[in-house]
This record gives sequence, C-alpha cells and structure tokens, in this order.
Amino acid sequence: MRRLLAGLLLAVVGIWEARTLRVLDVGKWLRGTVETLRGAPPPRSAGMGFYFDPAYSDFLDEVARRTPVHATIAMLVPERPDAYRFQAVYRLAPRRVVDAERLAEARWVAAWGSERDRLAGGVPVGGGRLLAR
Amino acid sequence: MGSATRVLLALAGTTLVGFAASMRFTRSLRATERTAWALATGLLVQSILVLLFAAAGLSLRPPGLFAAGALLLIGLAVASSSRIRRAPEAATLPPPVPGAAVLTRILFGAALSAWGLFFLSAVSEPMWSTDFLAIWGLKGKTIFETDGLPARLFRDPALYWAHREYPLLVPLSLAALAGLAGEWNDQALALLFPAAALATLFAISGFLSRRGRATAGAAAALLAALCFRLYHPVNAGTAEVPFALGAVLMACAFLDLLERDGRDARVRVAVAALFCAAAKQEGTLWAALLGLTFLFLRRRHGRRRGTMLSAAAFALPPAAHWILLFLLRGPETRRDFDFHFFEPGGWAALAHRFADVVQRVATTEAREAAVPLAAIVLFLLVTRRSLADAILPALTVQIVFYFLAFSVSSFDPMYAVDGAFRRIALTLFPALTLVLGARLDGPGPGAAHRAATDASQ
Repeated sequence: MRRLLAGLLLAVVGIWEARTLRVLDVGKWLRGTVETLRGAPPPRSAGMGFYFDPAYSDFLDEVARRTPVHATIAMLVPERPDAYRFQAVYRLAPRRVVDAERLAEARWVAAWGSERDRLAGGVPVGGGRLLAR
Repeated sequence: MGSATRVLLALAGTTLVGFAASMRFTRSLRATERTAWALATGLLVQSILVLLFAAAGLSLRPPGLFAAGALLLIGLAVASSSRIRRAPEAATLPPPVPGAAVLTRILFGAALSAWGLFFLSAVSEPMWSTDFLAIWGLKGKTIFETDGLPARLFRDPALYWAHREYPLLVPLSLAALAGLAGEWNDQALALLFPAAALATLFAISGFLSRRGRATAGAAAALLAALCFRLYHPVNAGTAEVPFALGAVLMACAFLDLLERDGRDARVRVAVAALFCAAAKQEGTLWAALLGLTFLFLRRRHGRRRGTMLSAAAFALPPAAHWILLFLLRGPETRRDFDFHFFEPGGWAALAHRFADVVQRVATTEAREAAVPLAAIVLFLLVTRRSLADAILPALTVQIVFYFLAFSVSSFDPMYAVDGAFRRIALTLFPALTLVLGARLDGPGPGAAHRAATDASQ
C-alpha cells in the first residue's frame, strides 16, 4: 500500500512537471529539426533569437561581412530589448563591440533602426548604416 | 558531411577519450553510468586541451585538436588496458525481480521520449537565450575564433555584463567541439546540451540500478527527464544543463564514497568536484557542502581511516580550478553581489532582505510549485529512509545559500529572484531524483544482496 502511494505521489510530481510542456512548441521544434536535417534550415531571422526584429539578423551578417575580424565596432542600437546589444556582440565576435559611450574607441560605427539617424555619413546597410572612420 | 554530423562525431570522440581516461575509476559501474562519466571526463579533458593549445598558440581548427585527442585516446587506452580488472561489485548485482523488466523498459522508454523533446527543442534553431549570447556563447566563439583566451574577455570594461568571474567549462567545451567540427555552428553545437541531459539520465538510472531494482532507476530518470523547465530550449547554450549533470555525478560519487571508501570512488569525487566547479560558481558550493556532509557523517560513525584523502578529493580540484581561473582573469569583480551586507553594520539590512527574499520565493515560485512540493514532502513521509538521504541536507543548505546570495544582490533582490531563482534551483532537481528513486526502491533486494556480498568479502 505504501509503495503504491509512493508511486502515485511521484506520478503527481511527474505529471505536474510535464504539464509545463507546450504542445504547440513541439510541432515547431519538429519542423525546425526536420528542415535542418534536410539541409535547408529555417533562416536565423525567423527564430527566437530575432523575435524582436527579424531584419536585424541580416544587418549583423552584413556588418560582419564588411568589417575585419579584429575590428572594434561601436553599435548604435535601441536600448530595449537588450537582445539588440547581445546579438551584436555575439554575432560579430571575435570583433570588439562597444556601445555609444565608447564611440571614440571604435574604427567602425554601425547604427540600426531608431538609432540610424544618429549616424551621419557611412553607407546604408539594410535598415541601418555602417561608417568606417 | 553536415555540421550536425560533425559535432555529433566530435561528441562521440570526446566521450571516447573520456572512456579511456575514466575506465580505471569507473570499472565497478554500470555501462550507463560509465557513459555519463565518460562524457563528463571527456569534456574536462577537451577543455584542458583547449587551454594547452591556447597557451602554445596553436590553432583549434582541424587537424590540431583532433590529432591531440586521437593521440591522447591511444595513449590512455594502451596505458589502461593492461591494468583494468573488472571490479567484483559489477558481478554481484541482485537477480532481477520477475515482471519488473517490462515496467523498467516502459519507464526508461518514457524518459527517453521526454529527453527526445529536449533534443528537438535544443537543435531546432540556433541557440538564442540571452545568457548564451552574452556569456557562454560569446566566450566560446571568441576562444574558437581567436585560438586563445583574449585578455579582453576578462578585463574589457565594454564587456562588464559578461560575467568575467564565471567558470569556463561550457565556453571551452563549445570551443573544443567547434574545433573538432572545424566550424562554429551554433545550431549544431547545441547538441552538447541534449548530450549532457542524456548523460544525466544515464547516471541516475545506472546508479540506482546498481544499488537496487532497475525500476527505481528508470522512474527517477523519467522524473528528471520530465523537468521541462530545466530541459527547456532557453537552457540550450547555458551552464544549467551541464551543471545538473555535474551535480548528479557529484552526488553519486559522494554516496559511493560514503558507503565504501576506496580509491576509485575518491577519484570519481575529485573528477565530479572539478566538473561542478568548472561548470558554475554554485558547483564549488555543492562540492563543498557534500564534502562537509561526508566529514560530519564520518566523524559521527567514528571512521577516520582515509578521511583526509577523501576530504582532499572534495576540496582540491575546486581549489586548483579557482587558482587557474584567477591566473587567467586576475582579481575578479563581483558586480552581482554587495558583500558589505556581511559587515556588522549591514546585518540588520541583510536580515530584512533575507526575509523579503524568502517571502518572495514563498509567494511566487513555491506557490506555483505547491502541488509537487507537497507531493515530495508526503513521499518522504510515507517512504523509508535510504542511503541517498545523505544528500538532502546539502540540497537544503544549497537552496538556503541561494536565498542568501539573492539577499546580497547588488541589484533589486526581487528582480534577481524573479529572473534567476527557478532556473538555478531546478538544476538540483535531477540530484533530488536520486533521493526519490532510492526511497522508492527502499532497502530492497539490491541492498540486501550488497550487504551479503560485502559480508562475504
């Protein structure tokens, strides 16, 4: 009897944990994995990493393509969400990425979205601008 | 060959190196446990190789790291093969209970299915969580792309938020796997995290199977696998899942050492302590708390022989790790904590904050988890004590330390609790399943059989 009760109590714990799974997400994960295995992964911009601004992904790719790997780049991007900053720092690594306060330390300046107009000069890159100084 | 295949092969190679390095101290364990230890040991070995390559200025790209791993594998295999004897413990497992095998298979199959969901969620898109981008992934990618550990990772004021004080096992492991695979692909590299989760399930089920009925091991593995808030896509890319593996291995090694002191168990404690300390800061705390529990129980039972050696196994690897990290990064700046609260003038404020933190957890996280928490408490009341109960005090004190850490937060403690408490507390849940599984089993035929075997030796 005790063993049965113990098993039931653990079942409660397990079921309670399992209920946090969102079934709708499973289909999305499955599709993403199958497409990746087929060699045609969904674009990065369509994923969770750029939920806040899908076009920002291509902008970072383009900045990476146009700057040397040892460059220091000042990123002028919206403050919120902070994923703007963290995606830039990660995607552009190993380049050194700094914020507007350290503009003087950067040979390159990239601006995106609402911050784009703060940057005079440079070349348009997608919805942003890139300036070599 | 696709990126995912290359990372999969890199993980297999890492595990193979780990097998060769760990076979001498895991010989009495079950195959599933040995696989878990092999992955953990392999990740440690690969990380040390990356550090050596960085110090020597060598490229991490093929064939360098691959050749070093292969040479190491051959050397370890040759050195170990002539000395390995299968330990008697493995041959003295209890006879299977009729009918239990089917239930065990069903439970373990369910655990693998739940793990499969984490696998899908982790690899379906590039890793994206903020902590991956800002901390673990940033460091790993920088190490891989520069073939070294640039000083700016630890000293650049522009990276003030990147937690320069954090240990480096996860970034070094990601860099090693990228080096073996020949490229940084942050979708394929996510395979590391389901691999660590699978190793955790293997460690839990293997440990409990070795000590009793396999059914209890499979049930505990299923409970751990169902912890979808730990095995969540947001944790693919962070140190939580690897630390959960380390916490389970540390607990298993501690319990083995407690029951039967010996060289193999001591080495396992040392390896697990290093893994925990290198994965997360709280890993050092976990090793220290289990070490103190070990000393306390040893003293209570009046057993002193070998105690200092065993205590050293808990303490020295984290200490060596801390010294190495200190040499790499210099004096650390802990922006997260304000230690002035520990000064006499801050005690009143600390007590007030501590009460606030406890209240916040009680009214948010604990309230939300009231049903499973109540079920666990009831379970502990209706089941008999087991050897694995020895980790309960350390689990409890670890959580109390989390309360304390939030109380001395440099930021709003409530913000810290809401943002991080659940994430870090859940890393201990797989270790808790060892207690639950062991009690489900009770003293059982395994314990009786082991007692008889021990008496006859």
